[in-house]
Amino acid sequence: MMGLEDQASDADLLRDMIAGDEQAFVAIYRRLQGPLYRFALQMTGRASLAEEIVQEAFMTLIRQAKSFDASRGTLQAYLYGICRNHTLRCVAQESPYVGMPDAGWEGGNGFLELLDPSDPSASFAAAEKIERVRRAVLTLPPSYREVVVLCDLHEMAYEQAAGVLGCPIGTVRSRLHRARDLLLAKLRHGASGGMSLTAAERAESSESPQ
Amino acid sequence: MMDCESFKALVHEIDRPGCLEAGVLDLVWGHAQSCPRCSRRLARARELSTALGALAKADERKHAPMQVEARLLNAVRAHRKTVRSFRQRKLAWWMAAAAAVAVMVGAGLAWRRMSVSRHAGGSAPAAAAIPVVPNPPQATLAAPDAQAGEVRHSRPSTRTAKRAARTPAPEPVAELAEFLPLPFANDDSPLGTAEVVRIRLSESALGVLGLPVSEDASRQSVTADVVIGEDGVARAIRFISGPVPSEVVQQLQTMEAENKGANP
Repeated sequence: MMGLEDQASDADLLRDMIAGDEQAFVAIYRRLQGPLYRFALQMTGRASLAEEIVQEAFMTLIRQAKSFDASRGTLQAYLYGICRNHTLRCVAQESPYVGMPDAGWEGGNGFLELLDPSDPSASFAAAEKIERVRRAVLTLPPSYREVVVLCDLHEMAYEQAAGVLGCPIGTVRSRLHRARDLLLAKLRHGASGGMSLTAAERAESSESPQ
Repeated sequence: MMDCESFKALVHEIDRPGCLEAGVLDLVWGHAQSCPRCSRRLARARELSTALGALAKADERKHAPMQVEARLLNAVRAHRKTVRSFRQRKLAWWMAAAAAVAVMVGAGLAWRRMSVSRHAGGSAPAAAAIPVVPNPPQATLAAPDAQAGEVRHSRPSTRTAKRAARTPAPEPVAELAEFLPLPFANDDSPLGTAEVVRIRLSESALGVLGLPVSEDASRQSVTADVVIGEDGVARAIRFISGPVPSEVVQQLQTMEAENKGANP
């Protein structure tokens, strides 16, 4: 049976939250934390950083809930935007180390979970392939990585992604096209050599995303 | 017809719903069937989409650890407490301000009622009710021409004391030793606790006090004691030193005589 919180819109819940309803905040958090956590995780490759980013995003919501303007977009897009800002800050601070997922991926919440006990070899190959793709995504420059994460992994439409990134739809399209070409090149060249950033990509990664 | 370059530009959008119009899609499919190179390009793009879809599926159950929710809930409670105490402080401040205003208004009304009843009981003439101030504070007119009439109390300091010692004693004006009511002073209003303030003003500034001033008013200053009522209005003046124009003296005496005649 669906609770009231499940049926209420994000805007209604936010209004209740501002009025002091703790359960409304819990409902918002439970509804939106998953995609935001995955976004941060897929952008940084580190579970600890993703946890920190999600926490910071919701802390911002707690402190500045009134600054959310429903006429400018959805609450989810607003929180994605906050997460993105925190993520880019973290990525910029830790750029020399980004590229390899942390141990969290290999634990109970990651690679091993992809294995199917009934067909270990096939599932191992599939899981390995997924990890290769993940690493390839993590080696993309942040401005390309975020469009791949939003449009391909989170299945957002160009318009939604443009709203989160604060850039025109044309920019999202062109970046996604370029990002996918880069991914194809990386995957074709293999896990070791092809995954590292080239000089051109480094130059691109230093571009500040819009 | 579509060429390979156009196909390459659209290859990643072929399977994305709603991105390409039906006519464009037909052209793209037609080109992919006729061009083996672009067909392979399309196959690779689809393979990438499949791989990314598998990655998204593998991650779809991932979520933030439970302790994040617990920490955020604590933060919500702390924030609510902070906001509530801030509101309470704000409310208390407003209540204190309102109480202060109410007290001031009440005191003002009480004072007014008391002074009205005292006045109704028969009060002495304004000048006679003036308490004697043994050492009236020294006051000077800031700028004789520009700020005539504006009285500025000077803080007693060693420098002013020395200057006062150096300056010659003011010449007494024997015939004007008593206070004369000023023309615009309202005798009906209660004087209350009046103050006598000694001021030095230019002769031309006498005009501000409602006294006649000759056109050739010199820049010499006049020292005078002014009685200031509790309402801040100057009531009476006594010239201490300086060349007081004779017409000023005459007018003040005439007016005083008229006042006495009108209100015996």
